[in-house]
Amino acid sequence: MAPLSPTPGAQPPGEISAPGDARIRLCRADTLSPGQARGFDPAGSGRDTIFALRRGDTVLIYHNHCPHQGVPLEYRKDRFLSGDGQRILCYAHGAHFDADTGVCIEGPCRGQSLLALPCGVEDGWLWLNLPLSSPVLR
Amino acid sequence: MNIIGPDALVFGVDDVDACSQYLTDYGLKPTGDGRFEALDGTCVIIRAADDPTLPPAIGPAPSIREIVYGVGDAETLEAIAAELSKDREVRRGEGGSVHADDDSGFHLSFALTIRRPYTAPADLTNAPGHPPQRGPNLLGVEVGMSVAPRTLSHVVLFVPNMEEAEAFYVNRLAFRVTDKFTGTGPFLRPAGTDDHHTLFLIQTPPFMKGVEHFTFHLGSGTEVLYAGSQFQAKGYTSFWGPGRHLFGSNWFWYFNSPLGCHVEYDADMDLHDDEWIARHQPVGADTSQLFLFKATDKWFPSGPPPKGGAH
Repeated sequence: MAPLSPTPGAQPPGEISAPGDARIRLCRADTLSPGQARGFDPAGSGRDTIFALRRGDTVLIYHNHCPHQGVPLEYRKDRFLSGDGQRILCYAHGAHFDADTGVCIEGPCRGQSLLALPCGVEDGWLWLNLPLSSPVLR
Repeated sequence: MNIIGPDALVFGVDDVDACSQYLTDYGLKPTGDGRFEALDGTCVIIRAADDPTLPPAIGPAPSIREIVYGVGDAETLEAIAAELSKDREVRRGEGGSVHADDDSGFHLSFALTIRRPYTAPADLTNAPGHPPQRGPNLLGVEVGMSVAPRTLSHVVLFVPNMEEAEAFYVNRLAFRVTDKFTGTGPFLRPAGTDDHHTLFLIQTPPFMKGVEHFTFHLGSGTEVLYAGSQFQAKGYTSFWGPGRHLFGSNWFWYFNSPLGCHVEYDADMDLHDDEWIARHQPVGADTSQLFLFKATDKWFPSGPPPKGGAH
């Protein structure tokens, strides 16, 4: 999908991540606010393949891929969460996911989970611990 | 029974602002009090999920709360009330409206239609072998041309028992099955319209019960492509389309939405009468669409000037 504009804080892939690198720098961790999520397209696939959200002191990254039909979750750029910001929703068929665990608690794929991706915060930067060549990012 | 089709869909949502922005960006006109109208006055109504005036929810918010059918005359309201009173609670409301649940538990109401007359241009086509529809110096398209949802076309429901749900609409409300995906569900046309379907039912597990999508008719395939590409450029997520369905022949483009269902743009649907014999086919990629495309950013076949200068 055509992104609205470059995601603020995101680094263009390639500047800081070569295809062989084992991890990808995404954004300053403090730019992620509670109750909001942000999609990223690190490999330049044309749509946001992953999304990050803050839960308290923790930042989580999930694959943007609903276990029900394998489609993107958001209804609009960065809109992955319920109105109160407490749940992840798939806006394709209304699956509700626990934001902390990624487990589907309501909807068509109850009991299945979003794929949580390895990540970490270092020197204030959010890193995705996957290489750009990962199939998850295509 | 002169039932025309859905006049209004009422949703209970957890993010009223997001839904309002969405429906406005989709092209409906906000007319106040959570109402978003097409050219003929058919509409989507957005309410906070905890609004006490709403019928009970059938799933977590956001979700459909009421489907309002427009009927052509007062006799139809009386006929519906008499028929449904035989085996369920029927409540009468303002203007003789009839309120009852269908056999799947969806809250329905029936009222004299709110559809108002309107005129809007057709997408005129110049096809060799046929007299031109657009004469000399009449332009087919222009940047910024107005595209507005014209009328509420249809709603699609996930139901736990498709055969039972079909029987309710056919036997009790005199809908006709125009076509059917075997084992999946029927396309249904009420007596007051020629449209191929105003209702499509899809068999799902009970916990998925709800609306799969709804759509308003646009004026043409070109309008579907233009409106959809503008909607996508605003950042909205395409789910399926653009393409053209086989059953109904309608152009389609589905988007994710904050209403708890997909929202579609459609156009150019087949019309049928009672002479039509329903087609039955298994559902699948080949039976559900003539073709499918994926929108891409605008592009132009240009490049850097050739090396070594012009030849």
